[in-house]
Amino acid sequence: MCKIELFVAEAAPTKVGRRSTALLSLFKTGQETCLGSSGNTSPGRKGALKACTFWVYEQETIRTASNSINIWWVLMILKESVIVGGKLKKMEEKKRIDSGGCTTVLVSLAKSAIGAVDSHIWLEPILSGFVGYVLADLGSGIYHWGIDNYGGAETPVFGGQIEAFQGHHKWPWTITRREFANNLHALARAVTFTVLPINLLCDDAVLLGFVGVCAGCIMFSQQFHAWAHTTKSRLPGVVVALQDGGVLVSRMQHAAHHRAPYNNNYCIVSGVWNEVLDGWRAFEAMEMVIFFKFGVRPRSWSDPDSDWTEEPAETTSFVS
Amino acid sequence: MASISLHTNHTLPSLLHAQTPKPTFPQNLSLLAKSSQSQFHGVKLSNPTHLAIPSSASVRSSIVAKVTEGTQPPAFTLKDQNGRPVSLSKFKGKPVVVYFYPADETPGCTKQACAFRDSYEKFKKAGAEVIGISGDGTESHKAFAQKYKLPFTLLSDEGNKVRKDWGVPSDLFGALPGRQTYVLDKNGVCRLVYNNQFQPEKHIDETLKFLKSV
Repeated sequence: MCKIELFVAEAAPTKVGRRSTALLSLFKTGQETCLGSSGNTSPGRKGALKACTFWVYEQETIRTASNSINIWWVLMILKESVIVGGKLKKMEEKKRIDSGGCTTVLVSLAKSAIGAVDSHIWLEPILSGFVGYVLADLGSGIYHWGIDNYGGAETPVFGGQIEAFQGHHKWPWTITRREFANNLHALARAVTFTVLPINLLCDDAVLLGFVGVCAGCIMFSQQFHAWAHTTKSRLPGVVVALQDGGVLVSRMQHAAHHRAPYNNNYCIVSGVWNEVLDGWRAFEAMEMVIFFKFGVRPRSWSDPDSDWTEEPAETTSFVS
Repeated sequence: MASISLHTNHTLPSLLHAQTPKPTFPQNLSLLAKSSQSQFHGVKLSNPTHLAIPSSASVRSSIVAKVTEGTQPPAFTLKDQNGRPVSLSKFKGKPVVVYFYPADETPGCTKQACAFRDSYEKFKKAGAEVIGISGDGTESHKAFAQKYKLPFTLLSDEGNKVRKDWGVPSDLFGALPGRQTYVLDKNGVCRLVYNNQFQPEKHIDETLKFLKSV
């Protein structure tokens, strides 16, 4: 028996290696259901692959030349190993995006180092890098607060992220099951687009030091976030040490964000801003200003509904 | 010259609108501070003379706080949560706690209302009445009072006219209606003014402490 993570791209998964546009469309996120035979989209109905009870935990939309395809990421237990070709292609694409992001960050840092040597300075680029690290944490908190509290799946540009973060609150443990490339690719794309022009146009060692470290921390913030959800025994020792030392956001600090009233500890790089922002009631102040200026209430002001309330992993069963 | 008393245990500046004279804060700001204490200060105006406080709501309007300790607040008649008109003069003969808050069903205001509710018996024991005022309509007040079982009167100050007449200062450069509480004595004269936007429960502590001291 094997457990694999894949997306449902086939109505009949016996078509290994091919991706069909005839996708299952009725499986809703969070429902335990069965992969049926070709053409069968009824949740719960067992088809040819009786072993394929799966659990849907995220939805993505990808656009082809002719249409949009909804992809549901699922966790599946099969009696036989089945690899769907579409999944491999998608993961390769994500790895390419991640490589692009890492490359632009490394180029930024390398240019900063070269510039520092040429200019015979070292303290200023290091300090600017440190400032980048500190501000990345602040930026992660503000962004996290924004998408946790405002907008929805239909919001332009951010809709996918908003939906993903809401799903994360319901199933926080699933972030630990995602591959490294999966956690990084969305941010890596944004970092590549932002940092590449700076790398091309700028030679200032101090600025590049700031940009490289800040962008790198932002790009890896989702991985730091995933580590903050991982049990200590499953983490590499160096990660535990960095969390305990306050360099990366700690498991305990982030756990507080996943408890009612879900309105604190938004920062997910180092978490150094969490006490400051929570102590200043900064997010509460911003929420009040937005409410009075635009009449929009943040989600954290309402009692969490079933879409928000965490479902523990133990209640989900996988039938083989 | 007015004196302003501040709690000086905290190391980070308040986000409240600055009031004159400007207080000085300790300079040991640290991004790595481990303190979990709230960083906001209550501001208690303790001088009976007329105090000039700049209003952040509009520089063009009056810069004089109209209701301060020792002054008689302007009279008003506003509708309560049941739509009935209520006049301030109705409460002459007993102390009244009048608290202005930003809006119903917001976190701070809910905490404040529930704190007044939970201490209501203590206010009654001191012979005082409690009145909450915001710009929300009567229907909103009715729902708010019912949801949280508030035993006191909520008045609807539509257009925020009374708020302006009493000179309640705004916060965050006018972006936020201020949270200010007044304690009036039996003759209707203001005896205490307390302002604190982000520590709403402190309004109850301060007003009860004052009522017990007189």
